Parts: sequence; C-alpha cells; structure tokens
Amino acid sequence: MPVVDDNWEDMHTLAGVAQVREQVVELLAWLDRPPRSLRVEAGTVVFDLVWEAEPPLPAADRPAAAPGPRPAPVAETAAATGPEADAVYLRSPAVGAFYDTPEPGAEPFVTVGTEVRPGQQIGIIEAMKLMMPITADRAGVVTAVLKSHGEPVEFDEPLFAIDAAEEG
Amino acid sequence: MFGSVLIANRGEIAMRVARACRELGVRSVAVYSTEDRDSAVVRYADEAVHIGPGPAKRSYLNIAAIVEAAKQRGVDAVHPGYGFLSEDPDFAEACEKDGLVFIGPPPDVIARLGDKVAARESMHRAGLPLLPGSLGPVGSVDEAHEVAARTGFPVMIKAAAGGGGRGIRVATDPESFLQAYTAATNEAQTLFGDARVYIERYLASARHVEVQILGDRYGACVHLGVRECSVQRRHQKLLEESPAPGLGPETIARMGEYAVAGALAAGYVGAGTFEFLVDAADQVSFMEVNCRIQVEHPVTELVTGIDLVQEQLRIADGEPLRFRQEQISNQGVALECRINAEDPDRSFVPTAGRLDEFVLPGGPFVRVDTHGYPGYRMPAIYDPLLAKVLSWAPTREQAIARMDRALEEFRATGPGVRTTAGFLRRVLADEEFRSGSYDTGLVARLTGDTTA
Repeated sequence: MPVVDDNWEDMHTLAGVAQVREQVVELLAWLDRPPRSLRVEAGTVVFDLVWEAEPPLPAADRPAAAPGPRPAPVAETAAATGPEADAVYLRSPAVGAFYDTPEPGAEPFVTVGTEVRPGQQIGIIEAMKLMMPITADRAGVVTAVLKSHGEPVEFDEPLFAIDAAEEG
Repeated sequence: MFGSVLIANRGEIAMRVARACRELGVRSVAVYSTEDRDSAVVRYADEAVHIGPGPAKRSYLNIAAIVEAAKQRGVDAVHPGYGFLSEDPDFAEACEKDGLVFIGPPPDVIARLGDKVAARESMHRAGLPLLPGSLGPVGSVDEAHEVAARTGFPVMIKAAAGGGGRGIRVATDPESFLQAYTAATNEAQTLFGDARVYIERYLASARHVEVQILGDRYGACVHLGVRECSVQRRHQKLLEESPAPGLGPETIARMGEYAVAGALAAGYVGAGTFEFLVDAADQVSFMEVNCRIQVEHPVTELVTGIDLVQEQLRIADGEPLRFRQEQISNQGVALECRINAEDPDRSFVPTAGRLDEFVLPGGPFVRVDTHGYPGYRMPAIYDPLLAKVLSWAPTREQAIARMDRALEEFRATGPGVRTTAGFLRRVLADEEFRSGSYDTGLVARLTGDTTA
C-alpha cells in the first residue's frame, strides 16, 4: 500500500512500483508453471523468465484439443542456464515395459550419478517377451531415471536424463 | 459391447473406426507413428499411443508394438482397418493369444482366403464360377505354358499371395509368355516372399463388381448388395458406386447368393467382400475375397442405411446378426470418389505437403470421410488417400450431378499440393461413364495410359 507522503517523487515511484508488481502478479498467474527465476526492469520494460527443464506430460494427461499441430514437448524448451542445460534425454526405442535391472532382484544397470559410455547397456524394454537392450548413445553421467521398473512406456518416451561429459 | 478397442491403423479409416466406437460408447485407443503425431485420430480418440517411427515396418506393421500398446491400455479388442495388418493371420493370432479380440475373421480363415490359390479352390468347391485357368498353382514354367495354351491367350499370371491388384502380369500371346511368367514369379517372390502363381484367362473388357457380406459367429450370413468398382487406374480403384449400373436384379441376386455360399463355406465371420469379374455377356466369375472392411464400404452404407463398422464390432463381440436377408434393402444410388494427394498432370505422382486450405463439401446427401484438416501436413511415406467424398440420390443421374457439385466445393491447396478431384470430375463428365456402360479400361482411355 503506497504511503501517502508529502514527497511527490516518492509517491510517484511507489505508484510505479505498485503497477509493476500488479503486472508481475498477473504475468505469473497467466503462466502454466512458475519459473525458477524472474527478472523485471521497468524502464523500457524487460521481463526475463527462466524455467527448469521438465519431462513431457504422461499420455493420459494430454489435454484434448481441436485438430492442429501439437505444442512442442516441454522437454525441448530446456532451461537456458544451470546444470540441466547439458542434459539429454535417452528415449525408449520401442513401446513396452521398462526394466532397470538385467534380471529380477539384480542391481540396476545404472542409478543417478553413474557414469556411462556410448554403447553401454543401461536398461531393457520388453515387448511380447522380446527383450531389447537400451544403450547409452553418448558418454556422460546419469542425472535422472524417469521411469520405474516394470512401468509401461511408449516409443520415444524419455527414460533417462544423461548429462553429457565435458569436452576434453 | 467391448469396453475399449485399439485401432491398429491410421488416416481416414482410423477416424472411421474411432467414430463408430464413440457412437457405441466404446473407449477408443489410437496408435501412431512419429510421422502421424499430428494426425486427426490422435486427438479424436480417447487415448493414443506412440508406437514407433514413421516407417510402417516399425509402426503400423509392427505386431509386437501394437500388441504391447493394446495390453498397456487394457483394451478388449483390436480393429485392424484395411491394409497394413488387417489380413495378416499372424497378427490375428497374436491378438487372440494375448486375450484380445481381433475384429475380423478367425486367423485360419484369413490365411486360407489370403492365399488366392487356396481361395479359388475353396470357392470352386462351394459352387462359385471361376474364370478358366489353373485351379492350383502352376508347378513349373512348362505347366504354366500348357495351362495358358489350354485356357487361351491372353492370360493373367497372378501371385498366389497377392491380391488388391498387385502381383499381376498379362501374357498376350505364347511368344511373350515366358517373359511375363518370369517377371510375375520374380515379382511375387520380392513382394510377398512367395513365388507361387496361378493362371487365369484375361478379360480385356470386364467389370469389377463386388459383393459386401456380413457373417456372424453362429452361421448366419447376409449380403448387402454390390459395388461397381471398374473405375481403376493400374488396378487401384478411384471411384465406386452402388448398385452396379446396367446389372440386372437377377444377376445381382445370383452374385449375392454366391458370395453368401462362399462365405459360409469358408467359415467367414465379420464384414467381407467377394470380388467378381463380369464380362460383356453378364457372365460372373469369382476373383478373390477381401477379409477386411474396405475403403469403399461407405457406398454400401449409404444405400442400405447399415453402419458396417458398428456391425463389425457387434459381430466380434459375439452378437448374432441383427437382420435377415429380407430386411436388407438398397435405396437409390451412391457414388464414392477417392481424393488422393496426387498430380494427375504428372502421372499421378504423390504430392505430400501441408494443407493450407482444406474445404470440405457439404449439403444434402453428401458424406466425407477424411483425416485431413487445415494446416495438416500430409506425410510422404504412406498411401496418398486424403479424403473420400460420397453422394447419394434417388437416381444415378442425380447422384452424379450431386457428386460433381460436391467435388467443385472441395478445396485442398498448399505448397506443392495437388489432388485428383479435378480428374475425377473428368470421369464424371465422361460419356461412357455417364451411360453406365463402362469397364476397367475407362481410366486408361482417359489418361492415354498404355501400361495399365
């Protein structure tokens, strides 16, 4: 609440700040999900919002829509800064059940933090009793395992986030 | 009725099946390849599963992916549409092994009727007339030559594993027979992995007339009239109509009886089509059975008032047929024009691309089945069928005029996009077509095509 004051300049500034705050609140309410950071300048206006990367919605939560191009999957609008910037998703090569262990009860192929090299097997997709290996396509560190053991997955669904290794 | 059905297909037929499901209160699950992620059915169906990349071998022909998707979503039944896996007995069997109802005939019936030689033998035993030729496959080039000579040239050499106009060569005389035979067997091996061929007399002037049947699990079977499908380009249908103009009611009734007899003999369940050739003297010969719903099924729906896809679901769900033969009537005339994304001025080369403008005809007694929409990007790797435009009227003359009106309203434009709508209007305007006395040579005459 701006304070009524004898100082005209202060009152003007406070009114300006209140307006900007109103705009920011409106902007945040309008967004699908809150950004990780928001910078606002008022003179010659600047908004600067940064989101964290997030896997696409599971199929059941897709909103119904009239025919038209799908909106780009959220995963493609990865954050511009921060550790997730170098993360790449390893996607399912087939539709089927995802397994993170070579056999029931065994240790998982990888966990968060595991270093992987290209061609290394990091999981299994099973379709009609056929076991298909999931192999890392680049060197890096596993930063996320997005599906749980036995979970059904679709073709091309993100399974792992792999932080690519730094250039040597 | 099933709680849910997975639609193992794409394009306009996937929309068709999804609509039947919607009307019956059945949950629809679509499958799609990466190329089809923006396809209409992906949005329309209650659920959709991404099953593979664009190439059909890894998506719409990928039995493991489709069965997995069906199990993931807990569907009761699978509708295979037409093409793709719809006549693959292995797919039908894989579905049933996993407790899914395959909406179509039993796997062994599909296998038997899909083998065109075995089908010929079965239908011959059931009393259907065949074109002169070999009854079984020809075992050697000498045997083939002998059969051809006995049958009388010209002859067709047809792949046993073929069908739908594929794997056919014509030998016009004994001198060219060896070359045609070699080409036919090689092509059969390449296309179908089965080099067996059989010989049939070639009718230069013939009409392709087919009968729609419905059979339930309990031995009841009816026919729903005929479709005239002679407007073809290189054995691919462009325009179909019902009834067959100029075919007398006795001939049509006889064809219907043949088809029902053949279906019962084969143990057919579901919707099927019996194809015949009719010569200039109205002599009828069995060609082949199509064990699936066909592209041109709406033509029959319009003249009978029966929803064939709904009946497929009912029959597959174990319901008895809901009508007797006497209850089925044919009213008026229906036409269907297949609008392909092809350029008739450049040898019908397919033109994929984005539809900037897509305006569909409407108004009285006009039906359009399509998966297109403004902004839709037509993939290049699937068949070019974009839309089916149908018209119905009490008389053939009115149905033709109505179809022409509808095709004039139809607009599909975009960068590089061409369609066959204009060419089809030329067919409608053709004197021979309008007379109702035309055969499979009509399109070749209009296009000056000598290879057909």
